[in-house]
Amino acid sequence: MARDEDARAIADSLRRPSAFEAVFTRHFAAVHRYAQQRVGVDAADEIAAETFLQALDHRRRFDTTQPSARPWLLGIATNLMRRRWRDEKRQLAAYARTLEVAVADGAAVESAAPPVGGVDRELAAALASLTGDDRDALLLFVWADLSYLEIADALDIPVGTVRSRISRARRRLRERLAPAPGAPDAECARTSFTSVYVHTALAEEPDNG
Amino acid sequence: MDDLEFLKTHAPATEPPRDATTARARDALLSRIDAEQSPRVVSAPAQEADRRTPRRSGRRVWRWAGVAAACVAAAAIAGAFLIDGGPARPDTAAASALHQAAAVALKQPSPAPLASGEYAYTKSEGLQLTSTAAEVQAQMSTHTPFVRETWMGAQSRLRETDGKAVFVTAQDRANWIAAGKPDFFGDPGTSVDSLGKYVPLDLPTDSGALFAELKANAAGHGTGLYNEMFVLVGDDLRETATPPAQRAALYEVAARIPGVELVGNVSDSSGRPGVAVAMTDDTTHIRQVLIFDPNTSQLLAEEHRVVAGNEFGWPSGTLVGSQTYLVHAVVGSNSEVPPAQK
Repeated sequence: MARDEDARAIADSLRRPSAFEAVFTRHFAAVHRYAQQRVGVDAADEIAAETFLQALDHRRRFDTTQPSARPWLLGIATNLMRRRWRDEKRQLAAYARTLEVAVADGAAVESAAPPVGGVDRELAAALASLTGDDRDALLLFVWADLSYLEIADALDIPVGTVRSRISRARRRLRERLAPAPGAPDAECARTSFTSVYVHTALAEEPDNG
Repeated sequence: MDDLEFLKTHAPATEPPRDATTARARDALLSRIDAEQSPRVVSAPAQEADRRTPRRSGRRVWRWAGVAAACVAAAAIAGAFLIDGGPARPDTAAASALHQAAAVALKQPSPAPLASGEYAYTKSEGLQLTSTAAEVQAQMSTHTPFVRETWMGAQSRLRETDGKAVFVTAQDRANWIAAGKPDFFGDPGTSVDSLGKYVPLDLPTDSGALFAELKANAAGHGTGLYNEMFVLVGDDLRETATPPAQRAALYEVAARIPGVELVGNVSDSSGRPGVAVAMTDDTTHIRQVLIFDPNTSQLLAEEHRVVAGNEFGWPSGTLVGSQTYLVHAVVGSNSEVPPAQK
C-alpha cells in the first residue's frame, strides 16, 4: 500500500465522503481481527462496524502525517472496547474455564495446538490483572503489531507513556507467569496459583461497562 | 520464550469476518455516507462527483501535523466572515497579474486530445514536512524530498519516490535524541499507486460561470470559502493538462478571489523565473503560493509555508510542502518515461 494512500483517501473524503469506503475496504478485517481477540467474535462484529462509523464522523481528526490509518482505527476500536469490559472479562473467564475443564478431564495443559480461543488460563488471568490502560497498550503492541509511536497515536498519549505502560504490563505478566519459588516445576507452579488468581483478578478489575 | 513471545504465540485464534458481517458493516457505513452527502447532491450537478475524482487524485496531501483538525472549529466562523463580505477584497496587483496570465493562456495552442493508449506524463519534485504532534518543545520535524510522477490516461498511475528525511532544525534533532531516537522517519523508497481512469476536466471557459461553479464546490469545505476556492484553482492547474481556455478562466477566477495577493517575480526551485500569487489561510496560518510562467501561464511550482501565529510555534516561513513541476509530456504507456528523464 502506498504510504499516503489512507491520508489521501481521508482527505478526499472531506469533499467526497464516499472516498472513505476505501479505508473500510483496507482495514475492516484487521480491526475486526483485533476486536475479536479482545472481546470475541460477536462483540467484534459490532465493535468493528461502529469503529468505521465513528471514524467517518471524526475523520477530520485523522493526523495526515501518519502513513496508515490502521493505528487510528485501532485506537477508536480500543476506546469502544473499554465500554465492553464485561465482554472482555467474560471472554477471558471463558478461556480460563475451558482450560480448567480440560485439566479436570486429564487433557494436557500445554498441548501442541492452542486451546479453544487460543489463550490459556494463566495468560487470561494475567491479562485480566492488568489495568485497562496497560492492557490496551500491551495488546496493541503484541497482538495488533503496532509500534510504540503508533500506539501513542492510537491512544493519543505520549510515547513515553506507552513505554511505561508496556513495561509495567510486562513486569506484571512476568510475575504471574513465572514459576512460583520452590515449586517442583514450572507447569505445576503455574497451575497451582492460576485458578485462585483468575477469580480474584476478574473480581477486582473495575467494571467500566 | 520471553513474555512477549509467549503472548504472541498464545494469541486467541481468530477467523476472518463473515461475509454477512462485512456486508452489514459496509452498508451501515455507506448509509452514513449517503446521509452526509445528500445535502450537497441536491445543489451540485449530477455528474459532479465523477468529474471531481480524477483531479483530486492529483492533489498532494501535505503531511503537516494536525493543523486541519485543530482548526476545523474556527473554520465556520472564518468562512462566514468572508462570505458576508468582510474586509478582504481582491488585491488589484494580484488581479492584474492574473488577468495577464489569463491573456497569455488564451494565446497558447490547444494540445491534441490524448489518443488511445497515450498518457499525459508529469514529473515534479518537492519537499514535505513531517512532524510529530507533540508539544513544541518536544517536536521532531523533518523535510523529506520526493519525486512524483503521474501518468494520466485510461489507467492512470502515480509513482512517488521519497528521499532521505533531514531534520528541519538542530533542535528537532536534539528532541529526537532526547526521545530515544524513535523510528520516526520511514525509509526512503518508491511507492506506486493506481489512480484509475483520468477524465479530462470539463470546466466552464466563461470565468463567471467557473467562479460560480468553484464557489458552489467550495462551500462548506476547507477552512473558508475563498481559501477553498483558491485551493480548487490550484487543484485544477496541477497535473491536469488543463486546456488553455480553461486555464485562462481559472486565472480569471483567482483574480476575483478576495485575499489573493501578488508576491511578485520569483524563481522556482529549479531556477525558472515566474510570477507568484498567494493566499494566506488565517485559520491554519498557512500561506499557499502558486508560481506560474508569465510566458506560457503554465503552473511552475507551488509552496505552502506557515506564517506567524501557527499553533505549533514554527518560525514564520517554515516550509510545509513544496512541489515544482518539471516535465510535461505525452507518452505511449503508463510506465513510459520521456527520453530525457531516463
